[in-house]
Amino acid sequence: MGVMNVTRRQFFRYTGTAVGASTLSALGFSSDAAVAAVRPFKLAQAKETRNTCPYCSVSCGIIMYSRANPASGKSEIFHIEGDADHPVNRGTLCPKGSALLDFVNSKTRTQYPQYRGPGEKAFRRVTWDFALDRITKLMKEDRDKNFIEKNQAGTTVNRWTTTGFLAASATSNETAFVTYKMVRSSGMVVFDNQARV
Amino acid sequence: MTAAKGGIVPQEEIGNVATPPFVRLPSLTSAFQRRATRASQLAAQQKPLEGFLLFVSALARAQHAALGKLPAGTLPGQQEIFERRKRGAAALASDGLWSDPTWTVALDAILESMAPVEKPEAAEAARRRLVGMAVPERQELARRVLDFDLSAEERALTPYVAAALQVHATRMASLIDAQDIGPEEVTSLCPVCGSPPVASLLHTMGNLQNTRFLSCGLCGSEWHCVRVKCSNCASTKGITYQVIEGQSDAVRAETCDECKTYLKIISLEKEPDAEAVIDDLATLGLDILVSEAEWQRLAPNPLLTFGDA
Repeated sequence: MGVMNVTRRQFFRYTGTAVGASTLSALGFSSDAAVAAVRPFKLAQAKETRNTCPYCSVSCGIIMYSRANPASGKSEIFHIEGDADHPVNRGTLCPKGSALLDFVNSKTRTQYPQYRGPGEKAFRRVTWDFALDRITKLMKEDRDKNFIEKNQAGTTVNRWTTTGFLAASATSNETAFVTYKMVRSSGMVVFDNQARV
Repeated sequence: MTAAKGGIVPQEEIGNVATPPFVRLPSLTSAFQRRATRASQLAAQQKPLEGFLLFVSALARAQHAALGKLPAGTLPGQQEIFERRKRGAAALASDGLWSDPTWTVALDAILESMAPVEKPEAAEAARRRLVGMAVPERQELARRVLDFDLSAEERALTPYVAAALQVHATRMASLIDAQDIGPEEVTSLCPVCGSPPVASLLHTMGNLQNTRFLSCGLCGSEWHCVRVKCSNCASTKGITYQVIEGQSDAVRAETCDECKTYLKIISLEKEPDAEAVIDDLATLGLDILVSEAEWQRLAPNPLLTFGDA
């Protein structure tokens, strides 16, 4: 990784015992009070995690701060800021990116698929399998019905114009490649990206 | 702004991303004075370390005074620095620091300034022992201070020797050209003098905003290091920020689970007056808890060293 290693030294532990035998006491200062002062306390931990803003194709780097909720023990994000080391945004964020924390913790955030059948009054929670199967089935039905193989002049066109596809923006090149191939090979021509929203 | 008049914003006004410099060299006029002020400020807040911090404050004042007494020195040239940096070495040769007699001039000045300062008997005895020490013995001691390789009975000598070496290294560092210290490789050691970082600083101002710099414990230079990354092993996995529960999080320990080391990270947004060397000393309690958990420090603060205890 190109990091110079410190080979001529051992590492150092600043334990209470070591502090008792350090420069501090050698100079004639008491180290006992400094050691005793921390005894009633314990450490609290937080994490910082790099990610990419999900809003648009600029793909700004962000740093998300999280720590465990004392009640549930579950990790919770409490602050998000622009990543100053990221070459794209150098720490800056647009108003949407600046509001990411509220987006993450929003009560109305979509967390699972819901379904309201024909004639039903309310949405009900369904499984991802149900949602994906249903979408696939409807796509197939629509494609079978409306696929245009040849135009009026008899030229092969293989168009499917009655269904569109909106892809995500903060995806990797590989995901974008696979998405493109899947959508275009089905004949779908209405194809856009969340990046423009 | 041209745009306000309906025109197109000129190229030079847009797209100027704030790229931080690779290295920030110390300021000779303020480096030690800031430490002196900060140490006495923290002494008032940190009762258990009050005596030691006041001693360090006096030492920093002595360091500042010693700067004016140094003889003219020789700096490595641009080509020499370039060659060294190409090999991944620091700009200033490490043996040059202890073998250059300039630092012993600083030592004599510091020992003289520290004579009237109120201090424990052991600290005064150590001072007197150094006054009478011959140059070759001082140089040998300095070499081992730089290597953090000291015996128990030498620990009281360290702050004086380290302080003198800081004066010499800080002056050298402040006089070289930052442009010459190319970002050949970001290393865990100072690109200017080759010493380990004493802490890292999270800056707030201008193009440094929210960027992290490692701060050298010897020459006071700072070098840029990507955040959320272990400064020792470069791992980005298993990084955690630890604070003493219920206390200020201006100084946090950045612990790495890959190499089991830690380095403190000081937020200048939360503590604008913070100074790496002094705030590191004043947060000794955090070191104790983190060290007793499972992490080790890459190197101690030069002013507070440990033997093989």
